[in-house]
Amino acid sequence: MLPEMTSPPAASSPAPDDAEVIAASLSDSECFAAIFDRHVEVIHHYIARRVGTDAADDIVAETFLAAFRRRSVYDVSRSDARPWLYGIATTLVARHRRSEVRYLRALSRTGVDPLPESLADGVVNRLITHDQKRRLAGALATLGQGDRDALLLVVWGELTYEETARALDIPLGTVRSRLNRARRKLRAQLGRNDPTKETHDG
Amino acid sequence: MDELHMLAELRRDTPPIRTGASGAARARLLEEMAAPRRSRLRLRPIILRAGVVAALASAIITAIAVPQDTGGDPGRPDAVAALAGAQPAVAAVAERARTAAEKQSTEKVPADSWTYVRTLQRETESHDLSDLRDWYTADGRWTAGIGNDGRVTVSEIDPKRDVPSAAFLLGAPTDPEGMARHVYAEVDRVIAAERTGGIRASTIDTSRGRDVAAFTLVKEALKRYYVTPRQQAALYGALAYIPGVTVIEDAEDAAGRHGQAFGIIDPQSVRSEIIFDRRTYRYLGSSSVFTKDYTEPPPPPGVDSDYDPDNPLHFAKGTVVELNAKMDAAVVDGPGQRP
Repeated sequence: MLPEMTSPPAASSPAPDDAEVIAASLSDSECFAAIFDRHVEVIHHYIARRVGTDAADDIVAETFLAAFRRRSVYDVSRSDARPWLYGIATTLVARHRRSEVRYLRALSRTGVDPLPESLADGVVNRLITHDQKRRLAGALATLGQGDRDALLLVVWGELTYEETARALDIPLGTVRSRLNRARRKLRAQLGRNDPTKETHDG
Repeated sequence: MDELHMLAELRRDTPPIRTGASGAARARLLEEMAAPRRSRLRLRPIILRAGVVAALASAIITAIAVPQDTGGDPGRPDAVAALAGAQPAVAAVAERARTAAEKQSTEKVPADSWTYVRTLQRETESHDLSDLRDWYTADGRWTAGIGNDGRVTVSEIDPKRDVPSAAFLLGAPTDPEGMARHVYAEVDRVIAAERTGGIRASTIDTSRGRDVAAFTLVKEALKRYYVTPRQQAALYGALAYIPGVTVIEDAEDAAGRHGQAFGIIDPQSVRSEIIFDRRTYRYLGSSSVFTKDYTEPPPPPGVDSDYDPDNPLHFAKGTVVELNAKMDAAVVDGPGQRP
């Protein structure tokens, strides 16, 4: 299920928010490690879902390096750095577009996810059927890169439309139209009768 | 369940980041934070945000390189065979270095031997001089350093992050033309591997064209590794085959030593120099300087960059991008050992 798309209630604890940490890191660069510690898991998970854990290990390191180098241009009016980090990660994932699409096509064709180390054995997801997975993967593979980025930031990154617009540095209206187009394709694919007919005889 | 809820389930069971991977990523970040101290290993010889400059040039050069790519297979032997003619002025210096080298005994460095290199490096931001001592095995598999606490740490080198590797010199040809082919073959390998992700970090900036990259490869090999006199002469000889390389009469390294230099000017008007002793031809150090005022142009449409129109990067003529001096280099008994 999709979690609520609202931020967790602002804690009344004295912990500085991301913007404060990033601002402090301009004079004391080691503060920036806190940004890593707070977000490395979710950013890695998002990347790994797209291109596999092996590639994700590297991309997540590059993401935080790039963020660190660009921290002076961070908009400190944004207390949550996640959209910014997701945006950087998405740009880096784009270099692996070919593998991403290849894995999705293979999943769609064979029903087996070739994403390196993507499946934790024994943790079988029963909320969607095998068949739905194949259709979803097939639909994702046909999306344009920009549409897929927007869709996966919203659904897997759990960003709001506004945050997605910021992450991708595109207007809010563009996010909406990309999402509409992507959802239409997903629906079309999911609604189709028996997608296995094309690749299997029976 | 609508399509977005279904999609939210797809690959939800992807495992979380492994502790080792998370630790490695964190270590890289911490290393970057300490960059002024250890910049030699990671930073390209570029100041401040000048990485952006390289990135932009990359986009432009890539566009130029495309027709070349589709026209021929870079892996084809005759692509490498298309070597420019040797430039007489550079070749003459290399020839004298070769004569000097031949007076010394032939030296063979075993692949598993440890080598020691001490370098003085002027830091580009603080202008402090760093005194760096590094150890490598000649095959490029292991590196060692001494921490602030005096302990010797030996670590295995990731070939994807160590370009050029010390192994580049292992068994390299000792004649100028052979070395030139060896250099260009390595540059082509690096360019191809960067496209496929086979190389993650390199001190050879391939974004300014193949010839500048070839020059940089020679410079980095001389700067970072133990080089025998014959290999050194062959590397100088290889420079003669790189279009645009000239001989500069006077140059100064980070230790204040004067010598002659081989130089090349890149598309961003940065002149890089390989400085050598005018009598012994021994490599002394290297430098890179902006020869003209440079203002970062806006990126071409569609190129991702952190270009800021209100604050384009600007480098004044004479800005020093890189300045170092190789103070000592030798084969030693083991990691942490001095000659």
